[in-house]
Amino acid sequence: MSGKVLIDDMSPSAKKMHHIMVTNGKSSYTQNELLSLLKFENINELMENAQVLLNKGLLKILESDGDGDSKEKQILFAAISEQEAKKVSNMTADEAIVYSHVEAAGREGIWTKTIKAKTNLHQHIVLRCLKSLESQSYIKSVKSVKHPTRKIYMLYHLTPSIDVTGGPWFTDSELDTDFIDSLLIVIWKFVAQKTFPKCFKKRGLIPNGLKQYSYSSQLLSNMGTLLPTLNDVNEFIISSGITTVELTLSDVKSLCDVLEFDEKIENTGGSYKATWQSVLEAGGGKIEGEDLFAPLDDEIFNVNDNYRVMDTLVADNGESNGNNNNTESRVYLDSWITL
Amino acid sequence: MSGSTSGTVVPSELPMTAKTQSPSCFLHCVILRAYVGEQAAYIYSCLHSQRKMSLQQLSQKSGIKGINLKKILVTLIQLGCVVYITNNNVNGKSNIFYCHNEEGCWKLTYIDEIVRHVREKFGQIHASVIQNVILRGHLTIGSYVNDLEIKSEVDQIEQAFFDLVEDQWLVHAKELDFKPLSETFRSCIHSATREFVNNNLQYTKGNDIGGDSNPKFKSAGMSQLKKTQIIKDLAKEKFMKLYYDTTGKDKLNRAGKMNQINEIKPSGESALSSLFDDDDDVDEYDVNEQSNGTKLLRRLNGNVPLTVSFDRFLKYERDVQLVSLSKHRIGNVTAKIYNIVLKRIEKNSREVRTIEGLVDRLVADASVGAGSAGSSTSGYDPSTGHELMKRLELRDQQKGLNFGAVDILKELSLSNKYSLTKDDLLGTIYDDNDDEDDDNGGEKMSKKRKLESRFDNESYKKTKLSKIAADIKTFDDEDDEEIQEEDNGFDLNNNSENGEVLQLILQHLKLLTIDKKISFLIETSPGNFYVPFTMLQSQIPNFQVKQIVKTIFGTSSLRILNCIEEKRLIEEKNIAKSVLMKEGDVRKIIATLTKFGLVEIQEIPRTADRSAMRGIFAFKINKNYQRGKKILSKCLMFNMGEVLDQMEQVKMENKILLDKISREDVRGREVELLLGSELNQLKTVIESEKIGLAKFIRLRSMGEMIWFADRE
Repeated sequence: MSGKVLIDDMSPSAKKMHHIMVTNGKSSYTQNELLSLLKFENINELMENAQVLLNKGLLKILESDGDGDSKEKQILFAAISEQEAKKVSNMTADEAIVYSHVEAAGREGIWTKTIKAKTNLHQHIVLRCLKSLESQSYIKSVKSVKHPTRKIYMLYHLTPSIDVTGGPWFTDSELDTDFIDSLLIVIWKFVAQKTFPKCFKKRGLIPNGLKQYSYSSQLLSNMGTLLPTLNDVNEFIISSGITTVELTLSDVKSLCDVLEFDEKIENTGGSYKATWQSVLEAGGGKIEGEDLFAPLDDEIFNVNDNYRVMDTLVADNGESNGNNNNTESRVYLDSWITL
Repeated sequence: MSGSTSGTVVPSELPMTAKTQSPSCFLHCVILRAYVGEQAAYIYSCLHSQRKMSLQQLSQKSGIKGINLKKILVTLIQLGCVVYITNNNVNGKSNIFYCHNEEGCWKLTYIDEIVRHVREKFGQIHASVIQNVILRGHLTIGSYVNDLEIKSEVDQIEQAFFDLVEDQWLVHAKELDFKPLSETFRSCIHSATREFVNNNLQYTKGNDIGGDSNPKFKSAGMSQLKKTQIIKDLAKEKFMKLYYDTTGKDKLNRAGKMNQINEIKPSGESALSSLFDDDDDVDEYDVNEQSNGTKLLRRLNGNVPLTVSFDRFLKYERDVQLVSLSKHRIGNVTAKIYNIVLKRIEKNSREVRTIEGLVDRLVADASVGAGSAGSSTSGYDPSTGHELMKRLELRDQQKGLNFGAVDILKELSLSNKYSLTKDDLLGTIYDDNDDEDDDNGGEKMSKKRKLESRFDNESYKKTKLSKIAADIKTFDDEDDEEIQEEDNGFDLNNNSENGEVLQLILQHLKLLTIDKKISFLIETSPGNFYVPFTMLQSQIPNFQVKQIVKTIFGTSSLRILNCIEEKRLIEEKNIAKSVLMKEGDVRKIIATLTKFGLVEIQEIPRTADRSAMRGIFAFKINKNYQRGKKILSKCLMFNMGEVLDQMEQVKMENKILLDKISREDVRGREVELLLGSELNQLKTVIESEKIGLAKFIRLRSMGEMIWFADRE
């Protein structure tokens, strides 16, 4: 009802001005734009109407930084929708001020202390206003990844910006390591399948009883025709639909970077290649009929053999204690340091 | 242990200082204790604490008396664990100083592996020969044969010596082996200076025009710096000459020729220093020679002392490590082919530790002339090192070290020892023409099998034919492929199968060239490869360090380390962002990495007063992991010592039991004579020993890639 009243009170020209400004779709207008759009005869007429709208809270005045050629600051007019104006008109003066600041902060949100500083209101009043606004679902508080301790507010219907949420890797402003790890595994597996043909069938056995099955070096290095590029990886993730979170290309890139840091994949001239070591560690690339934990008589121990080391280091127990990661018996390194 | 002199009490066991003064000292002391006894280990540790010591000083420090001390020293010198310096005093008296030497200790550390490999490669007799040589430090063939009880073995033993010398496992002992390198170099500088001054005085103006004296020595108007440089170059030349001293080798072979015409001179002037010219030995040898005549010394001079070449062993060990790496980086079959490549050139490849790098350092440190008593101030120029690296890299691709796929095939056809059959090789490389469909896969396979079986039959006939011709080879079903290939080896190109094999080998070789982190091979021109050992030696330690980091600290540590390495200088928040890990976790890992010297902290001040509150701390990699490698290698050494020490302790704790089972009447009847609890105890002792040895060997194989690499 009050909305109607808001509009009804006004002159037709002011109504028309508001209507045009809202329907025309632009968020803000310069003075000249308005003049040509509304076909007012002179500035005074425009100003009168603008004043009416301003009084009703249906218009706000912004300052632009001055675009392009003219470095001077310009005055901009922006229409406010009726509901919005109605909302504000129902608030107390303090609430309206607080609300305007929260609104101005947009998707970045605003810290309570900043509100206090900007409004010059007492903390109690600010808090009371925030509380009442929040209870009416006008604003909401969000957690910022950058400043986890700050209480930050933004308009209820806005989604927080990436700066606040921390991007796709954060869930409730916590780094979602499980999500990242599973994505890493998926990407690695995708790349590995492209790098080593048929090494993932039959429980990781190399097919046809072969001892090795690789692509030739030309296929692996020169053209990279078979190896997936970043785009391929991205497309794979999108098409597989493994996640509802929208990942940009740079997000995928950072995942690939992490895999590179892990030495699970390597970047060869723009396309990715999985390392054989990573396949071995994941339990792939087994030779048919070969016992992984058999003693290596004619070979030297390599750190990378770690994946096939039995915990007790004594092979003749023969029992399946292979996966028990008892670090006590394997840590060789720290004693000199702590001496 | 024996009594004391001048108040120093001989400790009842190896003192703590042996353990704490340095990890390498600890490891070597523990090893020496096992082989030569506690006193020798103690003396070694005493020598380790000082640069050099005279007999008197050593006796004072250790508390062991003259004759005992001398015996110990002789043993240690013989093993190459101690070297000595002879200083001539002004009044003609000579002082002898003793220093520790790691070479001998390393040989003892690796004795099991050396013997094992020699047994595998040559056989049991060779293994026992090499074992005895290591345990005695050095031996002449004559004295070895003389000690034999069964004279019928003499021929075999000699053949063993010959084989080992041929394969460079045994080399003649040089005078250089008994002196510290720095000392030898010092004497080289002395003689170079003398030579320079002498020639310089003789050099007159007339020589400039047509004289035959060396213009190198023209010193008039020459700056002191230039003179020093010339002397240093001269000294280096002299040193290298001494190092590559082949007189012993010549003698070794020359005598062989002479022996054929029954003309052995009883050579008293052995290459060895007088310290070991035991008169008894020579006498015995003479008798020996007379009794056995030419038959005994068929090809080698029995009078030249031989010692085990640790450098030769390192070459072998390096190759084994490389093969193992390639297996983890590329694949099984490729690794086997790489093994063939490496074995082919193992003997002639560059040494793992280059003497030249060391000498360059000595040259840089040396001081020339009077008045420059201390070491030189100029120091080691890094560009010298770079130049050396470049030179060595060029040497890696010398003639004879190049090869192509055909060479590998030839090698495969000649010998069976590489445990690679044609079956293993076929189908290992993805072929464009192959259908990727799995259903067809089986069919394809059977087709291939058919082909092969046809091939088998065909070559079986051929083999039968050639069997008569070359009766050395016996046809064996298991290693058929190799022998077949030899039979077909003459027309490599005509045989389509061989063409395929060749192509496969080439593909595997190419796979070795494309690895990004480790350049196993380099292709110089299409189809021609060489092994860039020098490059590998700088790549592998860093790679190895990272793998150790990954294994011991976890994958996330490797992730962060690699991230820091790639971004060069980066602060904590950005690390967390780029590795997608929580900041708290990142911080913990960085702390560990910093502790082990892998990562350095750099403060970046943001205000003029460098207030710590506002500054940021960024992280970077310690240059080329220098510090990390050093710490890590020491950790590994220390832990090896620790493992051995613990094994010793377990033995001591169970001494009564172990004594009991080694008694004559108990041996072989343990089950009857021991109590149940004792049997259990015995089992745990043996178990712990096994674990200890496994740990020891693993640590050793992890460390050796860092210990013996080039110093940069």
